[in-house]
Amino acid sequence: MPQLGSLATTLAFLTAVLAFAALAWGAYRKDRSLIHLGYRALDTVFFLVLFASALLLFLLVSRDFSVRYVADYTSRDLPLLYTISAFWAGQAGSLLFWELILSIYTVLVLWLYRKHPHLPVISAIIAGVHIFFTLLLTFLTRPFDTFPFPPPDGAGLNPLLQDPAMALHPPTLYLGYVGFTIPFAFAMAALILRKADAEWIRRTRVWTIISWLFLTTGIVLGGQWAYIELGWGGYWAWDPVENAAFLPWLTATAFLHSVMIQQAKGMLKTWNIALIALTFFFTIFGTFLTRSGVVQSVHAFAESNLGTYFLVFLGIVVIFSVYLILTRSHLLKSEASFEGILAKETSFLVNNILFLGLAFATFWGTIFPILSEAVTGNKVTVGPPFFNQVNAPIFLGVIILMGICPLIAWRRSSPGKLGRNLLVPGIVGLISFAAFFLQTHRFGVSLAYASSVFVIASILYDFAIEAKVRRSFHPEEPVPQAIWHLMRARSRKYGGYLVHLGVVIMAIGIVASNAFKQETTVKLEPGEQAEFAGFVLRYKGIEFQHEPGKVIASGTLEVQPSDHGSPSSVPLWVLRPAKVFYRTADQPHTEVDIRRIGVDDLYTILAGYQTGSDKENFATFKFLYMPGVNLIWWGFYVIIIGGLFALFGKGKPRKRKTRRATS
Amino acid sequence: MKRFLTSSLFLFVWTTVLAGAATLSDIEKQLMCMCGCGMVLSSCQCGTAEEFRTEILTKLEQGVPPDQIIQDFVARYGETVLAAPTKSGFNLTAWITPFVALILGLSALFWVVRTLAHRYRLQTVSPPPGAQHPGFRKQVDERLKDYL
Repeated sequence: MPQLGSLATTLAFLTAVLAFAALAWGAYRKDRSLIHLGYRALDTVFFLVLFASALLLFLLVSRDFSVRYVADYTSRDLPLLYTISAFWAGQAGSLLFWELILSIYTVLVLWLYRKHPHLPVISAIIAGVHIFFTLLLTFLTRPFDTFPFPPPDGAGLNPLLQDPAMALHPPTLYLGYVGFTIPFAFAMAALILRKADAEWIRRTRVWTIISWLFLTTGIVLGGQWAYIELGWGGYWAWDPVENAAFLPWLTATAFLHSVMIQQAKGMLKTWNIALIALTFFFTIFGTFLTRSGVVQSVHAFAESNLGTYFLVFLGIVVIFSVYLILTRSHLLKSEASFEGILAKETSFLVNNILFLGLAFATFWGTIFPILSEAVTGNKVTVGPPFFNQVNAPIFLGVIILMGICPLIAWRRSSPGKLGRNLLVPGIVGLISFAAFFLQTHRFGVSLAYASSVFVIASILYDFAIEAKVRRSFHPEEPVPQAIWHLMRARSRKYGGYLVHLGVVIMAIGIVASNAFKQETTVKLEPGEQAEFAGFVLRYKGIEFQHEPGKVIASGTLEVQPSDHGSPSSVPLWVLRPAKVFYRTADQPHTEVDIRRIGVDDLYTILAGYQTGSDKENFATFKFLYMPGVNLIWWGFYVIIIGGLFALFGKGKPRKRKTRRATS
Repeated sequence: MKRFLTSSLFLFVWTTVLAGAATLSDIEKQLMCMCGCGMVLSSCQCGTAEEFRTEILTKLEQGVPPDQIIQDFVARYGETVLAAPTKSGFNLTAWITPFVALILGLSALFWVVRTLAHRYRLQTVSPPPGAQHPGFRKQVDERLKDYL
């Protein structure tokens, strides 16, 4: 049966080559039969990849250990959910999963845009990407390789990956990564066909926003997984592979902002094409980082020779994009000009420069170890202290700009007008800065908090002004109805504001949980207690639980508030941080126990234990108090709601257009 | 399991020196775990990380200054044990380049926008205030009503 899978991936590769050739030649010769052949070949690629994926899933679930991939990533005692998630846990499976998503997106494009005149070229570009991934699956990292003598059991899935967030994190991330292939293909097709107006942006807006939302979800789920599963009380470590996901997110965010200028005023055409090409480049670059072994990372797959092939593909993407942009530069001239420095257009561009600055700093920090070794022969590490120090001020700039941008007029403003608009939110921001500084005596933290308050005030102020104007035209409407109509009529704008609000909530959570985190390590014998962050934690002892494939050693802690905690009183909570000894892993796995207290978390880790006679019977715990950490996840939910509202909120039909059409 | 119990003994040592915990925390944020996980020492829970922590605490107890402890690790493992590049020599470029790039980008943006805005003002002549068509305000209001 595995041979059928190998046959399917090989056929998918050959069919992708056929699709590319037929579509490219057919588009060039305007030969409809060739184009039709190309479309059907892409459909066939989809069915072949779907078959291969279903087969791999079947082999995983049926624990066919004659297949190397199944033996490497599953075992007989692995729960079903993680057996399924083993599909994308390893190199070959994750590449097949990538190709599966690309195939699904491809048939969606073929169906949704079946009447679009650019479709042959768009699908030829997508077919080119298919060729690359099916080539990897056919010749370099084969998911259906078999053992001559199957082992009795598999090696099992890495315990760190046995978490529900980890089961969802890679698929959402891949849905985001792969999604950017579609706007890239549309943009390149527009250049090839010399029709570089805003049509491709209008058509791909939904793809861009959905991909961005998936990428955001993937990144946040990754953070949640790290927070819960890695057992160190953090959610972002600036690991090279985390950075690899963050890079396309940054450039895509810049793109989402700058396309508004092209749609509104026909400006920044070259810039937008370059941004989407850069975003696509970074999605492949991220995959290259994970699979090449060029950087050391907790996420990296096994070192392999795939890096060279990814580098070649990246080179092709760069040459192809740069060539098209340079040769079509005359088609990318702006239809309007900047009319003043103080204008919304400029603020969008400053936003773009800041996002690109963040992307550059992150990229630079990620590749600096390689650069340093090449230049000086010295290996260095670029870790969190670097990224926090370099990126924090730029992030602060982005936040402040989020407060200023909504209040600047289009075309041209003046310092006086801008000052008047910023007066109320500015005063709110300054007062909050003074209040935070008096309370915390920390300049950076106060500035970050005050900037966030400034953004919220700015959004509310803009909202209040527009609601007031609307009510002047529709005085019969009650205020809530006026606000709802306003939001529906301008769903893109208010969806965007909701996203900004979510980002600010996240920023507050990030600053609070880093700046005011409390932590301690204590050694307790059974019956002993420790005071920490306003709580008394009493250690009761270690309990062992035997489950299939693992032994769980959990330390029981009874928690009470410090002010009324006596040994006899009933505990408020019982926490059980644990060490899990998997049969298939050398090192024990840390299972933290977290108690949510409003927006804060009490985070407990069983760092070690010893059982024996009285003096040798102890456990060592690490306790963390994480203020505001849940704001990060709440902010994320607001971002998703805002993104969906911007995408699907029904804007009021513009009567103006109707009138013009009628006249 | 045995290996784990042994590593717990290391934990015993560092929990007895809680007075030095703040300094331990400072130092472990500046060092990487060298087990191959690629994580900062403060984030890693493996046996190697625990051995590092024990060594740091022992040295702190002996009165070794934090800088010297870090230098001892650098002498043993090379600069790669540091969580961030030093701010000297070629490594300084790691710190400076992002800000130089950002400043260059913002300067270029300012220059381009100013030039284009200046050119635009030379090419266009704005009508004097109040010179609009008498029905202009009404038209604006109608459009605003549609928009909002």
